[in-house]
Amino acid sequence: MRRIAWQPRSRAVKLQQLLSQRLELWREAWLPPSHPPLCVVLESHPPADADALCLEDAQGRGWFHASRTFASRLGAACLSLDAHSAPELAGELGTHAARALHVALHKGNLSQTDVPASTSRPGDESLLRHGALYFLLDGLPEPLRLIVDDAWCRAHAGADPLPRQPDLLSRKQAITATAVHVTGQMALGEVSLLESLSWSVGDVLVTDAPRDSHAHLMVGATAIATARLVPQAEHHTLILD
Amino acid sequence: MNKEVTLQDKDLSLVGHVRVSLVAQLGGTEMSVQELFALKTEDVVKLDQSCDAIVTLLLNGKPVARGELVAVEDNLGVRIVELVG
Repeated sequence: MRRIAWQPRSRAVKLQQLLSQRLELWREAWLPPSHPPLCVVLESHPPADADALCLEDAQGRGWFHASRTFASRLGAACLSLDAHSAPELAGELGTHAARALHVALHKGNLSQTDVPASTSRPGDESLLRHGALYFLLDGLPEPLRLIVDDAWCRAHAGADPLPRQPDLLSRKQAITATAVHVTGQMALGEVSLLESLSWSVGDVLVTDAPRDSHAHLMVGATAIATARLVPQAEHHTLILD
Repeated sequence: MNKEVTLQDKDLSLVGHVRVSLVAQLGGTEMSVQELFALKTEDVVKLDQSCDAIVTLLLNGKPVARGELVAVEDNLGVRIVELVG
């Protein structure tokens, strides 16, 4: 399967944090204080079975995935009851709690619980291909998964920050690290062309330059400093005048 | 009139008296522009050629020979060790 859209890692993390905050809001309203903490985990693969709830609006679509017994077990957890005590009451309450959770995750509030049930979602391959994310809401009586499409992700993550342009440097600052090749040269005087053509290997040219002649530090053809040649150094070494 | 003329084509005595500069290139090194601008009196610049190494003789700015710097009485001399042509 070739993906044609995906969520940047930063957006997925941002949505995970947002859902965690909304999940905590719902937990405080519906679950007893003694209930273990809940957390939101980003998953890479879609759940295997059908959906229980769907919520859709202009901001995109999100689907719940849970088993058929999820509602009654959630209701029992809300009432701190055993799973087999008052199953009808637990089931009815659990359905309300699940719908409230769905709204809380989708809208970020607890005000609305009128949610259409059992609306099918597009195939997982199509959703994945278009940038859907899969979250596991962990810590509930049974695993509950939330699938959100690309439009939902974009709407709820807010605008992506623009990439920051680098600060400008002055041109002088910018060139300070530039490497420059410098050479040491020593002027030995002048020779005639005819004399230069008479040289051969082994000849010693006696120049007009005194023994203590100063050298020049050159950048290209430009002399930038005069210097003394250190006679005893391991490498040719210049001490600037 | 852009025909190339070799030295052999002409009598060198016509230009043989022309004097050109002779320079010994001692070696080189790399430094940043910042380091270059920070150079001051008594700073030491170590070049990449060892003292045993030969210098390059530049005739009119062009490398034509290599040699060793030697002292000849009070003057500098160069013993030629490599030459082309």
